[in-house]
Amino acid sequence: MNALLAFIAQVLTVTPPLLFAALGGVVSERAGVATVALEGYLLGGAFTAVVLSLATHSVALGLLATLAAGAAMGLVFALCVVGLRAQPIVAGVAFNVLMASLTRVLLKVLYDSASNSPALATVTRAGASTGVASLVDAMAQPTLWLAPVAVLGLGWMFRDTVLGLRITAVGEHPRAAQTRGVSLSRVRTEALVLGAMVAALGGAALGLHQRQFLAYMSGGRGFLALAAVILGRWEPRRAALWAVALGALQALEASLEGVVPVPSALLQAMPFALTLLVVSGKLGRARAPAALGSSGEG
Amino acid sequence: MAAAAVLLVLNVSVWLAGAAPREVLVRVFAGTFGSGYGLGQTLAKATPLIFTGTAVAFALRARLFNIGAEGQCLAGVLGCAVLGAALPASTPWVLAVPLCALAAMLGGGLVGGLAGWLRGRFGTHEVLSTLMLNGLVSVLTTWLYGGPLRVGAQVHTRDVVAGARMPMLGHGVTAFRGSALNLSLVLAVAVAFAAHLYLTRTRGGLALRALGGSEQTASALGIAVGPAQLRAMTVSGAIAGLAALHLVLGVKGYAEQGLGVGVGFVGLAVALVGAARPVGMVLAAVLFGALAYGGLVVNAMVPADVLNVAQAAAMVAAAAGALRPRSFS
Repeated sequence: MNALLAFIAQVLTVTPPLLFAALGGVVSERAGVATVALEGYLLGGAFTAVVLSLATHSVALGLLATLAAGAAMGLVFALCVVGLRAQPIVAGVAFNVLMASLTRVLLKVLYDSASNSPALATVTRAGASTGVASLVDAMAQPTLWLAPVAVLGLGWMFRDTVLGLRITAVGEHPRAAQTRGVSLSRVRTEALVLGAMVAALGGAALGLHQRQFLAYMSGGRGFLALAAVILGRWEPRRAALWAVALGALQALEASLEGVVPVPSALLQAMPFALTLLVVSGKLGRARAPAALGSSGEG
Repeated sequence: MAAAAVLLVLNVSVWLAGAAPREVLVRVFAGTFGSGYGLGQTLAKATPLIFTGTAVAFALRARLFNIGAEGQCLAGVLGCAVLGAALPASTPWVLAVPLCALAAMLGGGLVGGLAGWLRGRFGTHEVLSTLMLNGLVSVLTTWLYGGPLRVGAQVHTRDVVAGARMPMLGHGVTAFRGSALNLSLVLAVAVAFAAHLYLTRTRGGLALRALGGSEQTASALGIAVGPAQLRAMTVSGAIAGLAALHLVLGVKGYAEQGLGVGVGFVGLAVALVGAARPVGMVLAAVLFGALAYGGLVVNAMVPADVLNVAQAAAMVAAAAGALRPRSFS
């Protein structure tokens, strides 16, 4: 029982970063912009959430700042991709390099250490020794409660709002959207900004849970989230379900470690192998937004 | 224009880090191009980038976007280090180096080839497949280096045999003494030109470039698109794997977690800045090598990452300027 509770707590802890990043990926990729930049969004979000929570002694203000930082990151990325018409994938790779180094530079400037920030004292750790305690600890994270809101909200946005429909139209058939008077650059910019804001929340979940910012702390989660986007066929709810599944896989790996002689590499490799099968059409066809992978000119 | 933008970003980030931009820039320049040792280190940083840049360019000229040079390079490092350590200790270099090179090409070629096969057989977009393969290779190598392949307390593989080590150029050219620059630079440049010659002067290469024009043109010319895509991605992966010549045989003598990480991604930028042509790519690799080593030079004044910020800016500039939807074939 204790082990089960600890496992659930672990799932609830590792899922939000993946989930928000995947949702952010869905939003920007639905507009037809390949988004490799999720890794950078996570880093930027984690950095802002931790630094601002440290500075203001308020997690709520830290989260608000994270949304602002997300919007700023989305604008920068949109400036590159929409404004300068940079190839989105290369720009995404560059953006990841940028955020990895920028956060380290700022760490050095702010705290005179390029590897980590001071620890957050605002949230007291409940001492995760028992299953119940770690469950309480996981549930105390505000980002956990924002996750379902984001999933349902984005589902509603794509179904019932003008912005959501425009994003999908721009991603599926840019020419047609243009002839109906929809501005490609405007809608893509909006989608990138919104996507980055959502993904940045994933970074906040990561940083606030670990109670400090560590250099490179995203550790490939952005690419895992991208796998969830593809496995979830670019739909918010399905992508979120896959994020939970990948989170459960990570949690399983943590709880099996040292107990059962399964190489953890096997579990870590599964999401990538699974995605490879799905994009190859071996496990149900994954159909990407039509304009994805093109130069984005429509 | 692009250079000015990069310089501006560099200035701002140095200033942000709390140092005088001009002083730092002078130091970077003096440290990289101002001394034989610095130049040696810069060229050493450029060497693996020439390999990965050439790899990306090779695929790009067949209209394939290989963002898996990262994973292919790591697979090459793995293959090279495993074979290099398995050879008998007395293996002469005439055998050891080519065999290690083959192992590196096999490692990278398998990973790249898989993406090429998926593209040719099922139409799987290579951007998605190579991204996922990057993840797979990263997980696999992390596990191997931390577990089955580690030697004792050190988290790296066994040393490769002495005969497989690349001669350091510092031994012959005194100016480079002490730097990590080794013979693999010469091989990298040779591979860059050989790949270009293959694409422009041979039947097989012209077929790939026809593919770079458009798939329709290629199949109208009677070229089997699927097998050509498989070939392009396999060769591309093999070239990326050759970066192990520098990383394993030249610098480290073994493989470890993190060796070669980032080399493949910067290779993307090298290919774009160099317009997928050998001379351009060698120059671009030297530029990115200077940014990488320059960061280490000024590390006492500002964090080395400041120059990575500039590197990111250069990549965006490359993505914006070079990859307009025109063909690279």
